[in-house]
Amino acid sequence: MAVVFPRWTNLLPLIGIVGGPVAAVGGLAGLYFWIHSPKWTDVGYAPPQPVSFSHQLHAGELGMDCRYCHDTAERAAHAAIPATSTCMSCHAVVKTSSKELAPVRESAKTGEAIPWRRVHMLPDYAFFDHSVHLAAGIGCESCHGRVDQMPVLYQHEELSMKWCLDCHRNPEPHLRPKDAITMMGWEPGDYDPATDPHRTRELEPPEHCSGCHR
Amino acid sequence: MSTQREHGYWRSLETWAAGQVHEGAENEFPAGASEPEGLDLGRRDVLKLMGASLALAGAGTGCSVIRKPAETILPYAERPEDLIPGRPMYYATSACIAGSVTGMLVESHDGRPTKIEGNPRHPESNGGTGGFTQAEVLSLYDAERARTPSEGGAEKTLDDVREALEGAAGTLEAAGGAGLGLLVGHRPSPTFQRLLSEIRERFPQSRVYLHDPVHPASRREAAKLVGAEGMRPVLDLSRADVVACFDADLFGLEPGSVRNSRAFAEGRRLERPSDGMNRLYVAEPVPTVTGIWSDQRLRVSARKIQSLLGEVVMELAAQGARGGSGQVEVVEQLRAHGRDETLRAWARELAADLRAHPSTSVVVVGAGQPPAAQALGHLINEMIGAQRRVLAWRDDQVTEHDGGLVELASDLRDGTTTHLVALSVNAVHGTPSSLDMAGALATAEMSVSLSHLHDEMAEASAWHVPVSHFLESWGDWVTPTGETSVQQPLIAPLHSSLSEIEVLAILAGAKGKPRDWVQETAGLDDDSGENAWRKMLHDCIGRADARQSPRRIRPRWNELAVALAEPPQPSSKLELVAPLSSTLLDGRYATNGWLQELPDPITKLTWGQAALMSPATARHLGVGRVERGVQVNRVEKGLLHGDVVRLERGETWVEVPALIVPGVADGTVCLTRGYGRHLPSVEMGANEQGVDVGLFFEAGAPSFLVGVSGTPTGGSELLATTQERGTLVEPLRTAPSQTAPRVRDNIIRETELAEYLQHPDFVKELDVMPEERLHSLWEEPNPVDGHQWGMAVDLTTCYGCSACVIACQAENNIPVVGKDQVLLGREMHWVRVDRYYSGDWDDPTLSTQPVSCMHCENAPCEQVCPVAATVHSPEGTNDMAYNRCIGTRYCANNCPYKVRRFNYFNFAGRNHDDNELLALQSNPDVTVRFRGVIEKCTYCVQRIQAAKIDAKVNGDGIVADGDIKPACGQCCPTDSIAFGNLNDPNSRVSRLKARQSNYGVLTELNTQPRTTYLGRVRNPNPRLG
Repeated sequence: MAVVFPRWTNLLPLIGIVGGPVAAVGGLAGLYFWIHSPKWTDVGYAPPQPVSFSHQLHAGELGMDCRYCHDTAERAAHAAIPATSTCMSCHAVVKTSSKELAPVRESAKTGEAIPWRRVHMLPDYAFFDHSVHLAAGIGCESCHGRVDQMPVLYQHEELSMKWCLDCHRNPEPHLRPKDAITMMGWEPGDYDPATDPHRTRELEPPEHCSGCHR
Repeated sequence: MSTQREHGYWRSLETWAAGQVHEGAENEFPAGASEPEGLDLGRRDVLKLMGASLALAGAGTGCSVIRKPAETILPYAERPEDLIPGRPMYYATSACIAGSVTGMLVESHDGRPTKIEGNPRHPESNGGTGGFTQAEVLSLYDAERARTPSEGGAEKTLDDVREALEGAAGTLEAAGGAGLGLLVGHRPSPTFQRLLSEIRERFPQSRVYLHDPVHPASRREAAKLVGAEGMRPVLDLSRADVVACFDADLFGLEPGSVRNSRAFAEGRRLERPSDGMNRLYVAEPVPTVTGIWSDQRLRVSARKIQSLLGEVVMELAAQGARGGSGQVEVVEQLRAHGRDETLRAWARELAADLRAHPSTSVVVVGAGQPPAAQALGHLINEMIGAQRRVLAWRDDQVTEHDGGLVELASDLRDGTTTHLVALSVNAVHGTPSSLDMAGALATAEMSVSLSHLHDEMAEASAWHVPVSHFLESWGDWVTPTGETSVQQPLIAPLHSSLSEIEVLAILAGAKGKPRDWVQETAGLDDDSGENAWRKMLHDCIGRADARQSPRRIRPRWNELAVALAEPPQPSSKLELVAPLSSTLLDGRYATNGWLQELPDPITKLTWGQAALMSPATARHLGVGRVERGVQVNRVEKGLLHGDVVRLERGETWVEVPALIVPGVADGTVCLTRGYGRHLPSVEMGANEQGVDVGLFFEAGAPSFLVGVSGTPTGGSELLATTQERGTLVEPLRTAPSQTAPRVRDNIIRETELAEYLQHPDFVKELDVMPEERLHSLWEEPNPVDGHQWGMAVDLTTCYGCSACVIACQAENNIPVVGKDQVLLGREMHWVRVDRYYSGDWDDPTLSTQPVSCMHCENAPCEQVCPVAATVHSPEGTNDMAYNRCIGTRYCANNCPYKVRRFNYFNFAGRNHDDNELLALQSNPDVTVRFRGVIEKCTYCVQRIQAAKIDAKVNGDGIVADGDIKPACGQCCPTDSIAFGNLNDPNSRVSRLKARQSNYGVLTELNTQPRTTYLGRVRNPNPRLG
C-alpha cells in the first residue's frame, strides 16, 4: 500500500503541541506590544478641545503662517500656544458673536487661561527644543503632519525614541530651505541641502543620551 | 614634598589610630545600608516582599490606561512682552544675606525664582556667592514659613496688622512716641534708614534697639576704643601680601567673605611659577575654612588670642614699628602682664613677616574677641601701615540706636518701652538666660514680631507677622565700599507677609508703594531719573554713596592702654567657644533642609550639633575610647557615636554629644550657635536638635568664656557625619608604621612654595604608574572632534567653603534625605568636599578637595552597566539616562571615585510631599529622579545643551569659552573651578590643564578623568618650620 502520509508528517503533532503555544504566546506578546506602542496608542490622538479650533481653516484656507500664533518656535524650546490676546487680535472684529468663540472672549475678559488639551506629549525626561530643529531646516510638517488639513488637530507621528533617532541618523530627506519651514505640502524637487548657501554649518544631530535626556 | 610622604593623609582620627581604613569607611555603605528603613528584615523577607510587589506591579500595568495621562496647557490670556514661555529670565537683585550685602542674578522660570547666581557686576559678588545665598531660594519656598499674621495664636489678616499698628502709632504720637520701641538688626539700607529717621521725627521719644549676632557690638566698641567711632576697617586683599587672622573666619562666616576670598585668591593664582604668592597666617581655637586655607596655622585657645596679639605688638615695637600716640603706654601695659613664651616664637616671626611687607600686610581679629583684643589688631595694622593700601576705614553703616538687648530688657521691665516692634530679630533664642527676654516681652502692652518662622520670638510676642522674603519685596542696600544696589522682587509674596520697610512705612505714616520709596531714596523718582532707574534695576548697581568713601584716620591708643590694665584671668577649667554655625548661622536657617544636610566644612557633621574638642581634652574628660594612645571617637558598624557630655558653668548646663576633632585647641570645647530651637509650628527636625549655647553668654560678651566643667553622662548619640564617605584609600596591606597610616597618598597633592619653584611639576612625582604603561583591554572611545568638555579645579584657591554643594543641589533638583538616611550613607549630594588631615594627630594640617563625577574617558561605570544606562557622549561626558537605569548599582560599585548616588527611596517625591511649594523651586530643565535610579554630576549637561542650542541657532555652532558655567563653577567665590572646551587651546580650562601642576586622581587605573586638579601650593613661613 502506498504511503499516504510521508514520514515527516509524524512530526505534525509535535509541531502542533510545541509550536501552537509558542505561536499563541508570541502572537499575544506581539499584540500586547503593538497595543502599547505609540503607533497604536498615540498616533491619531485627537482630544476634544475647549474651543473647536480648526487648523484646516486657519492654516489651510486662510493661509496663516504657523508662527503667527506659535511665535516662540524659532526662539525657544516650546512653540508656545498663543495667548488669548493673539486670538482676539482678529476675533475682536471677526465673528464677534460666535457661540464657539465664547470661551475665548470669556478668557480675554477675565484673564483666565483657556485650558487647551495637550496633543503632542513627550515624556518628562525627554527635552525637545523647537528652535534648534527649525534652525536646522526641519519643517513643521515633518513632525506634525499636514496640519492645514486637520479640522481637529491630531498626533500624526508616533514621537517615539526610535522615530526621533531615525531622523537624527539620517536627517537629509527632511531638510528644507529656510523659507519653506512652515510650508505645508512642500516638495523637495531638486533641493540639495549640501548646496544651500544659507547652510553655514554642518548638521550634527545628537545621537547620544544627553542630547535629549538631562 | 617630604611632608606628604612622611605623614600621609587621613580623614579622621579613627582612621589614623587604626592605621587603616575602619570598617565603615572601607565599605561603601555602612552595615545595613541597603535594608528597608525602619524594618528589621533579613534577605529572605526582602525577597518575599519583592515578589509580592512585582506581582502587584504586573497587575498594575495590565490594567493601566493605554493613553498617557491627559495634560492641559494654560497659555497666558495676555502674554507679557518679552516673556517666552519655558525660557528662563534673569533678574539682578541684591540683599543682605548672613550679614553681607550680596549682589546676585536670579533665574526665574515662568515667574518662579529657581536659582540664585552671583552677579559679576556687583563688587560684593564678582560672580560668586556663598552657600547661604545659594540656599536662600529654598527659604523662599520653606514649608515651615509662617503664612498668616496672628495675634495670640488667632489668625489675622494684613489689614488687621495695619490697623493695629496705625492705632498704636496714633495713640503714641500724642506723647511724642514715648513707649514706642523698635528692635532692628544691621541694615545698611538707605530706604530702611530713611523711614527709620522719619519715624524718629514723628515719634521723637521712641527708642531703637540694635541686635545682630553677625554684627556684634564688640566691633563698634573696639573702634570706639581707638577713637574711630562709627567707622570700621574694610579690606582690599587683592593688594595684600601677608594676611593674619586671629580667631577670625575671614573667608567663612565674617561678613564680606565672598569679596575678600576672591581678592585674596587673586594673590595666589600662580599662573606662572614666578608670580609669587601671598601668605595667610591663622591663629584659631577651632578649625575653620580660613584655617584650611592658611599657610601657617596656630592652634591656640580663644582666651590666649589677646596675649598673642600683645606678643605681636611687643615684637613689632621691639623691631621699631610706630603706630601713633599712646603706643608706648600700650606696650608698657602689655609688658607688665608678662610674656607668654609659648606664643613668642610664632609672634616674632609673624611680626618680622608683617614688617617685611610694609603697607601690604594686614591683621584681622574676630568679632568674638573682646574689644581690647580687636583694638590691638587695629594697633598692629597702624604699626605696619595697612591703612596705606590694604585697609580703609569707612563708615560702619550702623543704625543710630539707643541700646541693645540689655537696654531693651530693662526698658520693657520698667515701662519705658511699652510698644515693641521687632523687625526680623530674634531676641529670645540665642540670648542670655539672665535677660529672660520672653519674660520681659510679656510685660509689654503691645509687641509685634516680624519674622520668617513662627519662632520663639513670635511666641513671646503678642503679634506675629510673617516677613516677606527678599525675592518678594523691594529694598536697597549699600555695600561696605559704598555702591548702592537695588533689591527688586521676582515674585509677589507667596503668603500674607510684609517686608521690614513696609512695617516701618506704616509707623512712619508713609504713603505709596515700596517701589516708590526705594526710587525716591535713590533720587530717581522724577521723569529725568527714569533712565537711570531702569539702568539701576538692570545692573542692580547705582551710584556710589559718598558717606562710604574711605577716610584717613589717626587712631589713638591711650584708652586701649587703660582697657588693657586688667590682666587676663588664667583658669584651669575648660574654655567654651561659641562661633556661629557654618550651616545654620545663628539658627535662622534651622528649617532649611539644604543647609541642615550640608556637611560642615571641618567636622562633616550634618543635621546636628556636637561639642568639638581635641583628643587631649577628650582624654581629660574621659570621652571616646583610646586606640594606639590616642583618644578617638567610638565608631560601631560604621556609625559614629558621640559620648554625651554635660557642660556646666554656674547654674547653666547643657548635655550634648562630643565629637573629637583634631586641630581644636586643648582645653577648648566648641559649641556652635543656632541650635536648640523651640519652634512650636515645626513638627520635626530643627526642633529637637542640639542646645542653645547662647544661654551661657552675657549680652555683649565675647563669644568664648572660661570656667566651664564637663562630665560624660554615660549616654551617647548618633552623629551623622560624612567624613569617611567616599574614601579614596587603599586597604591596609602591610603592618602600620608607628606614624603613618597606610593610605593611598596621591589623591590630594600639595607642596610648599619653595619646593614648587624648584619643581613646578611636583605632582608628577606622585604618579604611581607612568603613562606609557597604561594600556586598555579594548579600544577606547576617546572622542576628539568638536567640543570636548573638561574641568580643572585649582586646589590652591579652593578652601572648602561648600557653596558649590548647595549650588549643585539647587540647580539639579537634588533631594534632601534626612538624618536617618545620612547615617546610612545615602546622602545625595553630587559634589562632596573632602577634608583631609595630615601631620600630627593633635595639630594636623587641613586640606580640602571637592570631588564629583570625573567624567572618565575610560569610565569603569560604563563598562559594567548591564542596560547601557550610563554611556559616553561624543563630547566626552559620561551621560546618565535615568529612564534606562534599573538600579543594579554596579556602576556605583565600580566607580573608584565614589561619586555615584542611588535613590534608595523616592526621596524627591518625599520632599515634594513634605512641601508642596518645592515644585516651584524645581529646575524644569533637569529630570526629577525616582526611586531606584542612580544619579551623579552631569557637568550641568542642561547648561551645555542650552549653550550649544543657542550657538546652533544664533551662531556657527561653536560655544564660546565662558558661555557654559556649571552651577559649582558659577558660584565659586574664588573662581577655582574652570570648565570648558578642551579642544580650544585658549579656553581657560585648557590653559589651567596645561600647567605643570595639573594632575588627575587615580590615573593609575587608566580612567583618564576629564576633571583634573591643580596641585595645592602652600606658602608657609620657612622660619616657623
